[in-house]
Amino acid sequence: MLNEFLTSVNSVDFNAMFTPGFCHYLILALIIFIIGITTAISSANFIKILIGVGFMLSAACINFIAADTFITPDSAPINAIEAAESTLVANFAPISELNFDFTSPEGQVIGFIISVFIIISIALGLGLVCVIFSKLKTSNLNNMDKLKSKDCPENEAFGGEI
Amino acid sequence: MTNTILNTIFFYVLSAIIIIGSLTCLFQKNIANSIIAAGAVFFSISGLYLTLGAAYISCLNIILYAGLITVMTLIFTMTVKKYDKKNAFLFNLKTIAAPILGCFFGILTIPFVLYRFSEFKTLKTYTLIDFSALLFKNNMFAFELTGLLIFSIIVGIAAIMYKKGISNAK
Repeated sequence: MLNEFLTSVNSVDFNAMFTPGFCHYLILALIIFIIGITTAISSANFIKILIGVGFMLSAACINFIAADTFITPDSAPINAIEAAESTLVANFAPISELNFDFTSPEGQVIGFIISVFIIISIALGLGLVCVIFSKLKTSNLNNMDKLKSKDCPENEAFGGEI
Repeated sequence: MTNTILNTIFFYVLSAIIIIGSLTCLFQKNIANSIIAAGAVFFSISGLYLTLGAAYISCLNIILYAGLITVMTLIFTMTVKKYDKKNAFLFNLKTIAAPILGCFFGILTIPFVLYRFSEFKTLKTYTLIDFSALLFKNNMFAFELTGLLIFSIIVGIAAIMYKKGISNAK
């Protein structure tokens, strides 16, 4: 079993594995998405939440553009062997061996539309924060509790008003 | 230096900047530092788009995110927080580290400038004609919808600010 493991390790092409392919961009987008969602959930500041949302949508944009670059419609597999081979080629092959005959930038168009939505969300959020700050003099979400009722269970747990 | 090696170097350097910048944005208590880190992240994401051959999207990213969004949020943060004149310039570690880091990045770009990128080719090359043909033929509805949304957002923000201006005047 050890010999099998060693032979499998020796047969792996590390050069091709570290050359950036589609899965590298997917993993990077996943990391950015996780950091963005953590920022959006854990932050009390409204501006940080907007930045976190921007990170999440940017990660989705990276996915679309990487898929546009690395996946071509001509590589649609017919059987299981061809599917496995095409997956290996897409992920671990050197860039020079990939097929780049497809010239329609669909992924970039979708990335453009996502970028516009990010800007819309951030601009609207900033406008709302501006108005809220003029009323409450704070951009901390924990202090924005004017709509919270006195019958809220959190209030009961703390024995009255927080 | 071959195209593959350049692509690999760019990918890992930009990815490191993205991950470190986004973690800095998450853990920084000062909101201005978070916004600057986010600006660096968006710049690096634009660089990644360049390595993937999406030149138009990368320019759009730089203009809109790293330029517009970062400056807008910084201006808002400056109006929200009030600083004393005494603390306007603080001589601390950041004041020393920032120009040193800038010079370091400047020195890093010298070999790339000398190399002139004569052999560097992106994975796919699209022209603006390909991009715009697809946008205006197959995705016309989405394009018009986004334009409509941007227009409604501008009108909404102007209405909110106009009402706020009237209430302040009263």
